[in-house]
Parts: sequence; structure tokens; C-alpha cells
Amino acid sequence: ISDVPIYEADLSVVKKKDISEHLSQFILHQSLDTVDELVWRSSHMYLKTIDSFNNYSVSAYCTPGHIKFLLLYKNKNYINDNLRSFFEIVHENYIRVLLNPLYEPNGIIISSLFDQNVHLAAKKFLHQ
Amino acid sequence: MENGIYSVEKELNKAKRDISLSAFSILFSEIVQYCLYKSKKGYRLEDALHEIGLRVGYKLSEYLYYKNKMKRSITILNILTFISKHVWKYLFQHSSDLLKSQDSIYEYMICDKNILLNKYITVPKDYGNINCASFAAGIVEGFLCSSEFQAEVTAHTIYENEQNQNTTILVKFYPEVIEREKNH
Repeated sequence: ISDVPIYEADLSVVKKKDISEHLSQFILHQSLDTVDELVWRSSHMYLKTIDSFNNYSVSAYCTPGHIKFLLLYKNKNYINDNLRSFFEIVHENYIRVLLNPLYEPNGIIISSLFDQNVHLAAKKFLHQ
Repeated sequence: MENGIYSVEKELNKAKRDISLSAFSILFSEIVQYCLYKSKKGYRLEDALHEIGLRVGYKLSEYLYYKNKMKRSITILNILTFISKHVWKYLFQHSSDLLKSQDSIYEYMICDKNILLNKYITVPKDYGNINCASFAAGIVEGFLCSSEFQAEVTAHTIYENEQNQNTTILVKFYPEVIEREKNH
């Protein structure tokens, strides 16, 4: 299992960013180490907020197949329920992609329906 | 449709439809024949079947946990129990027995009498010990490896008599997995 992401999306409402893409990737990769420890401490999939850097936070979710979803967000105090619901929708859509017999395990996700649903879930649970 | 999100929940939670034994047997027989053809090019038949099983196991590990609404397994006993109960029920309509080896801390066994895969397969004497249950072994290995419980899984069948056979799926975990269990 490599550290290359199989899917990335910018879910910000305002597209102008105040940190570079490199920095966001760096923060997310750093947090992977924390996730790797946390997954063996509890059987929950939603791991809540696991790391922070300046005023950015990272929230994580780990599926039974050990696919990790990481969300980098700024400043906001998200209610855990909203984050969990967001991740659960991403999880369901991931399973749908996985069950496609033509999808190579651990491959890049190219499904536009997946991308669309992730953005819609962000709109519903994160943009409030 | 909530807020425009195309809900995949219905698709993933479809009621299970039964598949006829004949349809499955014909498909599996073609798979075995394909692997036999591959074996002429140097691959072992069992390895080819095992590899096909890996992909199935990998995908099942996500899907079955979702379907059974269960949390991740973080212990060996947990995940093996899940496999011998739920995975076997899903694939073969009955559950199997889980045993721990007395000789090695790395080994566990899943036992299935008269495994469905071998039901309509007779191995000619000159093919030796070929066991098509290596497909099931591949499924278990794919399931375990994708859940970070790396192991080598093989299938061994003992033929008691004409009608009865006893298949053991031997699971041999990598030392790192056992170490990790001990530390938690």
C-alpha cells in the first residue's frame, strides 16, 4: 500500500487558497503516521480530528480494507457528526467504485460519479 | 435523493439473489480450465486460481463489513472469526470451523467439509495433488492482506473416501502481525 493518493479533491467554497498545495500535501502526509498508530487502538472507522498544524486540522477515517480518507480543513470547529456523515458517504461511494470489476484495487479513482458525490457531500455536511 | 447526492445505499444493500449451482459450476469450471491453460505456460494451476481469489478477497473485505454493518477487525481472532462465519456464509451458505494450531503461534486453520468448489471436480491421478480450493485460499489471503493482517494462505484437502473430503485452509501469519498483536 503506497502513499500515493488514489483520489484528491479541493472541496473549498472559495477557491482562493492561502496555503500552497505542497504544504497541504505535506500536512496530510505527516498525519498518516498518526493514523497508522490510531487504527490499531480502536475498531472505529471514524477517527475524529487527529492532527493540527497552525490553524489547520486533519480529520481521518479508516475503512476495513485500510483505505484512509483524510480531510484537511481550516479553523472551523466541525461537529463530529457532520464529519462522520461526510466520511460515510465517501466510504459508500468508494465501495461502489471498488465493486466495479474493471477497477484495479489501489488504482486511481476516475469515476465522475464518485467525484460528484464527494463534492455534494461536502456541500451538504461541510459548507454550513 | 438528498441534496442531489446520488444515493448508492440502495445499490449496495440489494437483497441477495440466489445463483443456481449449475451457473456457478459452469463458471468455476471455465475458470479452472483457463488456469489449466495458463499452467501450460509455466504458471501452476493452483497459483493462478489463488491469484484470482486474491482480487475477490480484496474487494470482499470492504463490502462484507459494510453489508454486515460491522466495525473494523483489529485482532486476529476477530478477523478470522469474521471470515469463518460471515465470509463463508456469504460465499458457501454455511459457516466453517476455526482452529488454532498447537504447533505454531503463526498458524490457524479454517476447516470446511466437502467444500463447494471441489464438488464437481475430479483430479486425474497424473495431476498429483492439485486442489481447486486454492481459490478459497486466495480469497482468504486477499481478505487478510487488504486488512493489514499479512499472511500466506494455502488449501489442503484430505480425501476420506469417495464421497467425503475434508478441506483445511491453512493461514500462516507473518511474524510482524503476531508482534503487533502482542504489543496491543
